[in-house]
Amino acid sequence: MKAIYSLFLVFALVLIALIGAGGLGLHYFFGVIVPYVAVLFFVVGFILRVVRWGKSPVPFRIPTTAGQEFSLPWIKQNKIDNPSTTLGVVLRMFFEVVLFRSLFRNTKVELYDGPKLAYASSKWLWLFALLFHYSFLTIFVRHMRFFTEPVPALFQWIDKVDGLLQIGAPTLYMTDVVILVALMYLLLRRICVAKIRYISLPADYFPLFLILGIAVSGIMMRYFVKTDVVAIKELTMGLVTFHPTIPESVGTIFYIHVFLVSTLLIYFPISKLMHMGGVFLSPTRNLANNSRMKRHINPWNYPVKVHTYEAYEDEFREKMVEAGLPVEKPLEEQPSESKE
Amino acid sequence: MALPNARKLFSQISHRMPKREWMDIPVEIKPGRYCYPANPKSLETVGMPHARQWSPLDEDWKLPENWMEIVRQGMKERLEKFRSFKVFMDICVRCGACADKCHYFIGTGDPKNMPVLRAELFRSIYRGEFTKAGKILGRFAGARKLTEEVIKEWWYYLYQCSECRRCSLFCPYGIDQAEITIIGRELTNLLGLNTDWIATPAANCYRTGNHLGIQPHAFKEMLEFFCDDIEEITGIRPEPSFNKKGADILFITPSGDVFADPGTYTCMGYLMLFHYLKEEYGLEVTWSTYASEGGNFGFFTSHEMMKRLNAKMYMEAKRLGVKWILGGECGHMWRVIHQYMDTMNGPADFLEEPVNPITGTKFENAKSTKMVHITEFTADLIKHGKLKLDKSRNDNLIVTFHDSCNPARGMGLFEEPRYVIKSVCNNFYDMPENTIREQTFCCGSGAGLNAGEIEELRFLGGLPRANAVKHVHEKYGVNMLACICAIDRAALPPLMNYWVPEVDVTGVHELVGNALILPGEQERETNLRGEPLPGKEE
Amino acid sequence: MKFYSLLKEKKKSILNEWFDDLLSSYPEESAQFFRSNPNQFTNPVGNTFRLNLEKIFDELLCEKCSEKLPEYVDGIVRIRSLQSFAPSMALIFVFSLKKVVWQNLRSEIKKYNLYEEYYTFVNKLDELIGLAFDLYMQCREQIWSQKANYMNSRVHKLLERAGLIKEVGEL
Repeated sequence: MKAIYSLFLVFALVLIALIGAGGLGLHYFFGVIVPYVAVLFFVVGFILRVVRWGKSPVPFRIPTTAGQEFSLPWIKQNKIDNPSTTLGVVLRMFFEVVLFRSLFRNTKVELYDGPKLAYASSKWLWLFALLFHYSFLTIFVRHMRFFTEPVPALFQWIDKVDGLLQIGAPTLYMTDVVILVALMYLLLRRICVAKIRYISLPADYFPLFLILGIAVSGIMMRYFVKTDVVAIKELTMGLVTFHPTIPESVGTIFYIHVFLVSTLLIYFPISKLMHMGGVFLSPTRNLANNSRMKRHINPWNYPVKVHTYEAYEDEFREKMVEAGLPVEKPLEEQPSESKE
Repeated sequence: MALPNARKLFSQISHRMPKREWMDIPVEIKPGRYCYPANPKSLETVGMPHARQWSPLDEDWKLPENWMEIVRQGMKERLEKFRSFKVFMDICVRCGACADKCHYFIGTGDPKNMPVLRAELFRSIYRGEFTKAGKILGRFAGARKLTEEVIKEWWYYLYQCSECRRCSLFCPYGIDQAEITIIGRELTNLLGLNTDWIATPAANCYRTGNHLGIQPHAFKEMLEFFCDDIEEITGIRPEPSFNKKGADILFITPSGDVFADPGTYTCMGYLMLFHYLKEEYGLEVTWSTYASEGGNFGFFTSHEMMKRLNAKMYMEAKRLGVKWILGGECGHMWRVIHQYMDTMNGPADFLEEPVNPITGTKFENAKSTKMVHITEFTADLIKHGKLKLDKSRNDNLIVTFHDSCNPARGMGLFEEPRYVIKSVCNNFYDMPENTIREQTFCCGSGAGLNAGEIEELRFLGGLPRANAVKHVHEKYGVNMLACICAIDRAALPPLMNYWVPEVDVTGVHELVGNALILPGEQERETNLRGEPLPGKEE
Repeated sequence: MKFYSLLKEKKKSILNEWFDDLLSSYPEESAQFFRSNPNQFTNPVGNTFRLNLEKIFDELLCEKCSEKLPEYVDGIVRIRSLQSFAPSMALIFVFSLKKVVWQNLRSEIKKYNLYEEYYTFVNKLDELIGLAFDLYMQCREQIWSQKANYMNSRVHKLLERAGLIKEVGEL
């Protein structure tokens, strides 16, 4: 049910763009106003969210240590999984963000007795998550050729590498295939694995369908529905140079694509997609395990009521003296009533 | 427990629960899965709010009138105080990597024991109360209403989490259920909802210095009884110092080591080690009756309570004028010392940067907090050949080592205890890789869940651990499970008794005590437990 | 021994159905986990169930069950007795085998008139039920005696140290 709601929502978005840009011809609205608003939403929303996180302090140093601590000189420290220096933390975060190291931890090849079945389910999650994120990134960077003139060598190069297989005309991008496969995996996993279905919310299906919609509309535009690439570039360059123009020959499919992307941009800062920013702020990962070496300061540390030694001795002095335990105040000087 | 009728039982229908979303499944409080509520007197002793008599099985939990306001305000305050809480509420993508990592889920099969769902119990309220999307879209945005049912569900599942952090290891964003549990328990405490197994020890620790409420003279007597036993076995009587000003080192260990078997044998190990160091090298270690509890039951209550109990360590070290502090074998005590103490109650500028006066080793990793773990200390002594050891006295033991959750994932103490064990025992075998070190499984009783009334839950939660022990027992003949945690020493013996009765439990320093050759000792006939040494059997 | 050779033939499908039936007493989310994770260390419940059901079945195929049988039954009962099931539900697997076998072999039993052999097999199952109940009670009693001992051991040592109690031998 949750999945179907989300699917319908994405259909509705497509329909809005179809009617608005295609039927009613609101090209300026869908080609200029919506993208501008979306980018504004995204940038402001993203910054606000990160600032809001940043405003809450990190009172304690609580890294999850995943290896041997820095200890005696003859004990080999695991400098990445249990970093004690900033460099170590940077490396740990690098592996975390770039290679999804914690997810990979799931996947250690294990030997076990009993029936020899492949223990692979969690390895797939790591693999497809990685494939998804990298193809998304590549596609994003590839699109930069629409927003730059002349197109920098880097973007051209990535474009070339992605189309390396030289299949069909226009050449097939590998990432187009990969992202579809990865998205289908992530989606099916949510629908078919009972425990994952149980924990999934509509907010988990919606972005998957939305990105799927974006990918499909993009692929349609490139391979199936003929679109005027020169006109699109004119439009996109108009957007980045703040001289928006709407060339006549841009097809409706383009507006659908742009509308879905705009929705994603607006949805991004108010959703779980913010994990992109949040991963950098996670106190269990981005802190060095050096809390016994270097004092960590808690900005709201406040004095608390404690049971002092004096109060303790007052209560037990007689018994302590009797047991031969040293006391601060000798027995006869004891005030008749204890303080606490 | 209502008995289902036989017809229903043997019919063809599936026994499975109806397919519903988790938000629609009301919490069912099952006996054997929850601890008894706190004794109101204990809460009053430490000034905790809304102390009262109540029962989890009752319909009415007698929540304070303005409970909703308290929860909202409490949550808001903590979102502003803890970035961890705020970020963890926002960024979970429900990938499910943590789902099957929790030992309680693995054992009980209760889906709400999946870490992600235990956290969603809170996230759903967070979304409904603190995010616009949740307020407008409600259920569609994963939000739900704050009701008494939710509070009951919180309480029930918060006290089925042992704060072991195994889930956090596998989370791609490092979301730590322990952190959410700690903060969640703070919230339930605001409503006077706690468990007696946590609240009463916390009150005792505060008042008398240790969790059983043992008074100072009794504490001293207990240690002297151990000295009697040691004298009987070795012919040497250690003379421990108490509350001694000007000693070199203050030693603090969980009081479980003083009062409960088999921790008591570990305690004898400490006494023998300190005696050895005093005789051979003139090192003076003192115990304290005031700071006589290393374990911190405040940690299972609230950050504030943790700070209040922990404060004693530095106050006592300052009063006695020692150079630095040595900490005994304990799990969560060490998480508090390692990750919280200096921040909360430091700076410890009245102490010296810890140096082992016997070996000259500077404990670089403890130079600010100035507290050293006893396995770090002993490993250093052994490495420098400063202890005379007879390993063969432990030859009847085939040992494996259980990494306690907190020193493992909150510190990274893996090699030190293993080095010590291997130096005093000839037979050591590790358990399978995915059950030890950072991936270690909890004993099932951590974070205040060692209560007798939830034995079923503890045994199920401890099953993954026991299962790995069983494996090495069958494969290598392991008969002794070593650990560096007082809760482990209390929780693992019954756990082993249920699942692998052939395996016993020991602290690392009991093994040290057995192997250590005290100057001038008589030939030993038995180990510290009074059992004949290998080769000395009848 | 036609019946037994049929049992052997259908072993795989009987075991699968038997295992599924046992798992059906858990929520689907957990059942799928118990079924699918083949690592004995990260999924002790599911793997103990699967392996022990097979061993029990193999024992039942033999002329006479070996002394290992109680150990195999114990492996499952020890877990089930903790999982807050009513006793009959905890032991549902010993009852359900009869059903599963009947479903798998019904037509053959009728066709070849194997009722005699089926009857002896069912008798064996009844013995299995008895065994399972004994083991179940042992587990429950162990839990309760540990609960009782727990309080006792917690205070006993203290009372002893404090000189408040004396063992008979010391008087």
